[in-house]
Amino acid sequence: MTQTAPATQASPEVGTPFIELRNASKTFNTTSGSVTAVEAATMSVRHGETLALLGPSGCGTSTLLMMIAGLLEPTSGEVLIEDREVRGVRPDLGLVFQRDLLVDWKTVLGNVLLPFDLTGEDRERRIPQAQALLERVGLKGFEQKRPYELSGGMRQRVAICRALIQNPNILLLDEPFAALDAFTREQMQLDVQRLSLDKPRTTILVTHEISEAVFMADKIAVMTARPGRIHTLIDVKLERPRDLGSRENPAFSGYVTQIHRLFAQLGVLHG
Amino acid sequence: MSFHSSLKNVAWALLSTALAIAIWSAIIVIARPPEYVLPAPWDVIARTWSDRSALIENGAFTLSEILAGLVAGTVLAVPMGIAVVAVPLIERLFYPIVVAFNAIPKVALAPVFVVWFGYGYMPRVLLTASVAFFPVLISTISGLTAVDPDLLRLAAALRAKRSRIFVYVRLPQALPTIFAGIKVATSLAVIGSMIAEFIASDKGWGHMLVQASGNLDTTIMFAVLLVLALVASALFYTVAFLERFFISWHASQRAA
Repeated sequence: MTQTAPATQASPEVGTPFIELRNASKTFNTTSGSVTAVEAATMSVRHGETLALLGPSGCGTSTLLMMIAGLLEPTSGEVLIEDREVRGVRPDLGLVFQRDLLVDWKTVLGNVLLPFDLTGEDRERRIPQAQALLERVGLKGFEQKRPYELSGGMRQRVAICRALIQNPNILLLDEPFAALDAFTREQMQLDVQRLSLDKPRTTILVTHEISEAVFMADKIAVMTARPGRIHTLIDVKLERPRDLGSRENPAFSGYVTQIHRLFAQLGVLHG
Repeated sequence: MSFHSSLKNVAWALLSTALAIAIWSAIIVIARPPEYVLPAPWDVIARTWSDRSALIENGAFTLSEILAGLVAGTVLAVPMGIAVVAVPLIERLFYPIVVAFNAIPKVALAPVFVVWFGYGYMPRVLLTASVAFFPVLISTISGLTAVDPDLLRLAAALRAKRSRIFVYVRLPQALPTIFAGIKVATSLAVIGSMIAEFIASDKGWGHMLVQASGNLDTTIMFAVLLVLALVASALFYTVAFLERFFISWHASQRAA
């Protein structure tokens, strides 16, 4: 894998253009012909912002995320981070998937420190940091538990701690709360926002839920399927930090309604 | 597992043994079969005791074959499985041979081993090892390759070296599957040693069985089968104990 940046990266300035896509497309060749997962995606995210990729299943959100992560190369067009084309994986990246991917043979603490086992960095030195992160998500006292002793929501919190242990500039969340119940999901949305206050961080969230996108994001890319396209970019101008009251704000419902109508117009929803 | 529940398991094992002996005794009492067809349980137990020195002497021989074969098979199969998964060239070159070799019934190899190595200890261990080898190899390979692709993506995003992914993800993940393979290999090693002794031995329980069969001495055959069953079960539980020690975190070991 090509190294694109030094192992420790200075944090870019908040508000400067950070991630940029220019006509980025991705086509997969399968046995039944070629499939365009993402077509001509163009957008820009400033550092410190949260972008939600919102759309029905199969609209290329995960592919887009993997291209930003540097795990997939665009077939055409460009993916730029800090004005440089993404080649290979960046070191300042945290990933969370729908499944928590915790390993059963390690404790909660061991799971948070797993990235250092994999990179070969000194893990002992990071133990206090891991403990602090776990405490922040309400898992103090669970350090020596095994993942199977935890509930789904607790497990996903551990996965988020694991993604944040290297203090990345970019956090990529691929439907992180989709497998959780509604209450846990809402709590996690608040927790992730709180953790992002520690350090300015650019977050990209893949979600299928309109209200989650509105609650979490500064910018929503409304996507449509076959081929996956960014249909509209919507700026969410709700005050931060958002709290339980944010959902009662008429502006919040305004955004939800606006996007809901948009999906209805696009034929994603029909009654 | 708590002390209480293990005690309960032992109680159930004793009960099922008692039930089996009761049915066996009932057949003896009701049907009165000739002794060379079905000896009575009490006769078998008496014979086991009176012939204990022969049983122990031959048993030590058989047990050492089983253990040597099982250990040799496992010690060869696990690294080979790792090599097949880690190095694509090895997979392409050797895996087809391995599959073909596995398809041969290992019993069919026994006469060849006799020609090559004579009637000594070595061909018997070799046959036992060749029987034990494959389940461990196959389980090692399948355990190492069955890793969640998202977990590999996560590792790739960390720019982890292949060797580190192997040590910290693939290998621990494969352990439960490898142990399942060793369990199968344990049962097969017992079969392997018996076949080896049928064909090429002047010692061991297998040899005793062949001789007793010629003399229609069914009682001693049953005595051999009895101790064989006990030893094979003990072996199986030893492996299960090791498994519990090494992979206590796995779902299979967690049932209350």
